[in-house]
Amino acid sequence: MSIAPELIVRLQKNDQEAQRLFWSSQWSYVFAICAHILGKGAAATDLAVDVLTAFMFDYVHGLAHPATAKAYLRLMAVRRSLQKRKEQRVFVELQNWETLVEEGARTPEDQALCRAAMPRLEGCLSRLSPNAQQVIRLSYTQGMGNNRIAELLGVSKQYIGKLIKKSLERLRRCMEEPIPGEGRKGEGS
Amino acid sequence: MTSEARPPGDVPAIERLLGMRRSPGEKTACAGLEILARTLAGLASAEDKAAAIRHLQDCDDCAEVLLELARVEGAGIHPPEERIPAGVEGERRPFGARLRDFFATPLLAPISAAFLLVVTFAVWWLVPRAPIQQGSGPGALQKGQGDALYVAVQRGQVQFVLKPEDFVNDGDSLGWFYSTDRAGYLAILFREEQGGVELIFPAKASQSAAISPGFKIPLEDGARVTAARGCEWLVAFFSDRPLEIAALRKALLLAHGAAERCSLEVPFDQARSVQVFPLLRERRESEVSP
Repeated sequence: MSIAPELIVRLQKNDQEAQRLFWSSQWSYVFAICAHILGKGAAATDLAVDVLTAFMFDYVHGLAHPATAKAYLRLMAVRRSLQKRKEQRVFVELQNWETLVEEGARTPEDQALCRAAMPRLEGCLSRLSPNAQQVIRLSYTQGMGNNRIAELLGVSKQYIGKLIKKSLERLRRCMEEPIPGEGRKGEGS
Repeated sequence: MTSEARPPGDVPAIERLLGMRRSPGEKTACAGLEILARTLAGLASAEDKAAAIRHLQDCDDCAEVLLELARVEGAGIHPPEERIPAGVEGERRPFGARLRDFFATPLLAPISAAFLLVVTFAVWWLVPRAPIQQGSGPGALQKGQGDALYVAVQRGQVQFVLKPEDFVNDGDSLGWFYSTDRAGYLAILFREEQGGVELIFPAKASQSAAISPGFKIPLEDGARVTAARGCEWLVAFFSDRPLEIAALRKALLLAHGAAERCSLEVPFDQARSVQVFPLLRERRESEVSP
């Protein structure tokens, strides 16, 4: 399935069927780019989700030439992957967590608790299947409902609901595992 | 790798943590990205191309993106619609070909300039090349048989395989090809007359890279010739086992160079073949050492 100019025009009109077609045709490729640069894992899945959603819901509306979509998408995927790789190298992500945690936490104790839990959460996410990582990212980071995710991925909303429930349970169990001193996956030296 | 002890007290609700886990992302798209996309999509006008060149001169990030994209394409990662056997769609030119066209313009110089000195880049194989002349000779083989490294030079629009007596000029782009009759490992290093040593291939590695048997197989990393005084050499080490780059650096530091003939003796027992290329330059009278 190529990114035909007609498909881009439909994306610009927020056509949901076009969004599903776009997602299913480009997911593997965008993920492959991210995984090639970042290594396979939750970081690559997250980034592929972010790139596709940003392109589909945001950048597509600013494209002057629909025929440039394909080139633009791959430039975007490479560019963001390189940015992410640099962030991983200099631990900027941890600093960002601190900022975000401070925004979302209620008390200083709460902030400390969340800050300490974030690296562990990243490691636990990496243990999930790529499908589960994708759905979790769409649900909690992109803020999509189960219906919307199901439409986008071309599956039933019941499947999405079960996958999220099962994934949360696995994450919860993983977070409670008594593995002191475990390193966070994906941190470079 | 850092250590993370269990957080004290209860773990915060997973849902809440996931909600906080937002990606910083990029707030605005680079204005140059669209013009690059137009160029790669084959829709760029001459003005667009000129603008793309200007943009790449100022935007190291975009130059890096293009080079990384070239590596991705080189690793065989193609969009679904381009995974088509050659010849099935004669009209459509693959993206890789357009990327090569892109680099075949004078873009090559500013892009590479952004990366300075003998920094590795994956541009060489992007440039459409004339077939390598059969029988053109590699550098002096000091030890071993069956292995050969070829240095290809891109000078403006001209491409040729470097022979031991050829000169190189500032600004030349160098690419590497090897031939070997058996699998093994390869490392290429650069040595200056003053003793400086740099790793050329594999870039930023601690050991030599695995290679397969074959004839004139191109390597991804390349280099650009920069202004220098005195003799310089490229040295290729073929081996049956991976070699530590630190050991190769040491061997090159200790190697004896004869400046008057630009020869270099590299004693190194662990390699099955050692090949030395002198990078000769036409010396002006004022530059000749006393």
